[in-house]
Amino acid sequence: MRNRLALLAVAAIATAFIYPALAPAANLDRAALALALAGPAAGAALAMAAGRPPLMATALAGAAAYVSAALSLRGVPVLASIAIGTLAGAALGAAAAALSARLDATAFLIATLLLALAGAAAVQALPDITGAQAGLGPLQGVSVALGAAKTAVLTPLGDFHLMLAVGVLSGAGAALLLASHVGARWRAIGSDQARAAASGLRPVAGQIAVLATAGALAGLSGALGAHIARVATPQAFAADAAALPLLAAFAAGRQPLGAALVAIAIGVVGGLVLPAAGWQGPPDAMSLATGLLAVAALFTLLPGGAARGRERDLSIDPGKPWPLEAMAGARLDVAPTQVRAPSGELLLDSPALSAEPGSITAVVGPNGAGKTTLLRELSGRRLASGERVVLLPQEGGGFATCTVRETLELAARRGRSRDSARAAASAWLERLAMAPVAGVMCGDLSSGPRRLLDLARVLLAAPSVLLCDEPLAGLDDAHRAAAVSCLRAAAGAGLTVVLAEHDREAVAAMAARVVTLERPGWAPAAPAAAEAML
Amino acid sequence: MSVGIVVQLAVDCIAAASLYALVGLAVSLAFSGSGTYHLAIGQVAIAGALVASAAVQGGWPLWIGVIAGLTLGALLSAAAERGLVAPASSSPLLAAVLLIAAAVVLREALQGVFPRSAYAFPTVGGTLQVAGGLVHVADLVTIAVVAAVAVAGALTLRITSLGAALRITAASPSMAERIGVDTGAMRALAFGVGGALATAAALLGAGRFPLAAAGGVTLALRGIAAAAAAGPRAPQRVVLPALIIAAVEVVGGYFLGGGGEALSDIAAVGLIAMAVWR
Repeated sequence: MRNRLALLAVAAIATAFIYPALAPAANLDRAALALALAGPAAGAALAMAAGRPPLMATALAGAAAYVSAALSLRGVPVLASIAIGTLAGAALGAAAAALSARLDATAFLIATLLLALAGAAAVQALPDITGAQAGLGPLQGVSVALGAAKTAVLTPLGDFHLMLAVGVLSGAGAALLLASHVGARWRAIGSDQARAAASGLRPVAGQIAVLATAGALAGLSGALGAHIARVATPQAFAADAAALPLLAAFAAGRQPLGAALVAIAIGVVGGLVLPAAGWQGPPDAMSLATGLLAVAALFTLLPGGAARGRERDLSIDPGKPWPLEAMAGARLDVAPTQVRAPSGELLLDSPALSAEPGSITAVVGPNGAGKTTLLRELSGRRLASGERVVLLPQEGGGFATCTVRETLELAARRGRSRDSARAAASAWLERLAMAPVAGVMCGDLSSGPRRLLDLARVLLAAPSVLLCDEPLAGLDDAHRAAAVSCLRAAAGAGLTVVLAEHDREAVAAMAARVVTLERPGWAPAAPAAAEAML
Repeated sequence: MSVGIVVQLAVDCIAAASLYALVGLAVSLAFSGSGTYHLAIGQVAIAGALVASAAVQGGWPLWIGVIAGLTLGALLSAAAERGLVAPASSSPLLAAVLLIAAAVVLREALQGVFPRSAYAFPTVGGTLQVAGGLVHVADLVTIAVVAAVAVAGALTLRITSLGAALRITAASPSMAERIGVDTGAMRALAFGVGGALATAAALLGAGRFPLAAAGGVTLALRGIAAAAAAGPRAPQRVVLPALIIAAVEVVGGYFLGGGGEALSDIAAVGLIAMAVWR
């Protein structure tokens, strides 16, 4: 990261000197407007990392531009207008996140597209306020009051340099933020909201913060861009503009700095290079550049050189003690439970179940008996005394876009100071023999280490009752032995463990009590049945 | 309000709803196989319809123009699935954004070839007097054609092996692959049929809204609203939300003396927002 930022600084300084010397003066403002795409793109990449991909980053920039323009036309100093416009972008971003907290990423995407289109409709519906297609202007250029009734107004060269600085700082700032502790929380939330919540993070608060930051980045670019162009126009609310920042973020592998640079490049190609080369369309130059960006985004899906398998030489000794602190397990009493599908089908019909602190209770049964359904049902409950029931799901493990160390440190933060959380995370890193891959993203680990890492994550969060959904499925012998050893040690430390498991041998070795579920008269359609349809 | 006006508004409303339901059906069909909203459906439909219009205006028989338009709509839509959605199957979000980008490029390209604000396509002329109200024959034709398409589509899905393969692909792609169904081809087919259906809607609605390069957003918005409100995997339910959008447009426009399109856009946005929130 440090090398990249140094390279960026050198490139930016070189651009600041070289480009104005080579380019016609008329192109400086166009180049400045291309640089204004950096903020929305960096913001979109930030928001994507937190699982909130917005199709409204440019609309936020547009809204900030209108707020800034309206204030400026009413005599508010330009810098104050831009600052308030930026805050408006942040506030709108935060409001969108708060209002759409229940939505998944796809629904959020559609919702933000609607918000952008609603912005476009509002601009058209209020021509007296917004100037409709002609926009709101003419605006004063970016200026600084010097006192004694004197004002310094930036020249096109000054506009270019200012926008270059803002664009570069937006990308670099967003990248640094995402790599920081705060960014690790946002990435954890984006990786898996349920796991993040179980680790003590607050997904909604995180998403509001990230969208507010994205809104501020987009808003600053938008408000500045309006004063450079001398007009706030509704183009920022169009579907074309909506797609560009997200495509840049996809093309740059969801990295804010890369997204900012890609968006600038597209702005330069669409706004300067293609028109200079005589491209008149159709499609117009900016749409063609957007299309090229879409193709570039597709290329990111080609298989890459992930770090998968780097941990193949790691070996875990199941016999060594686990870094577990004393755990306050709680007694779990569950009445007979039935769960039905919306269609009325019986998915689960379980007998009464109780589990004691410091013991392992196994739930066994054939496929379709409802073991996972039972655990998910229990994981949503709160015990009478408020103890925490935490589910270790079967799928995935860790936070895919956080490193191994970040995952453990985030989990260890619950109830610990930062230093003791680091110490606890380091102890688990050593015990899992994962110190060599501490900086590897969890999504790049293979399943065995990832599942053990997830077990460490839930144990670090100090639950009272731990529900494990087939914790041994798919593990090789070494990881299976380590998982069995770890679960027994956790129970030995006082935790109440309930696990659903197919491996009867492991169940016999671990469980003090076994509850058997029967299939409730329901079975998935067999392939033969589907074949019969043909 | 007289009975004649009620009949007139009702037929107008059902005809408009038929068009939106047809686009909604196309969106549902595409979503069933891919899990992605076909955000380029409006632009694909407009492309097919403009080519059909150009063919007819160029002196070709109507039926050739229609076939050319439907074929182009289907091919463009299937190409979008093969070229954009299928490669991005691991990232439905990227697929959705790519479809928007494709729609933008297509719209700009169409604007270069078809720069006018509206193009003509022949519609069935004439009116009928029913209970004192004037009913456009074109509206009745629209309702009849859409009803016939819906029945034919439902029968195809229910009784043919192709329909079964489509249904299995939508329900469980992995199971479909296990029994030898080419799920990639089925998804492309779903998109292609969706493109043809939406093009048919654009052609049938040529007398209702202007046939122009930039008209795709309106068509897409209402169709996606109908599909989203129905639940994107429930094509049989698109009729009710389509009726709501059309009723707001027709009845609102009647009482306000115009502006029904804007009202129906608001209704569409409201329905999508409700569906998204749900």
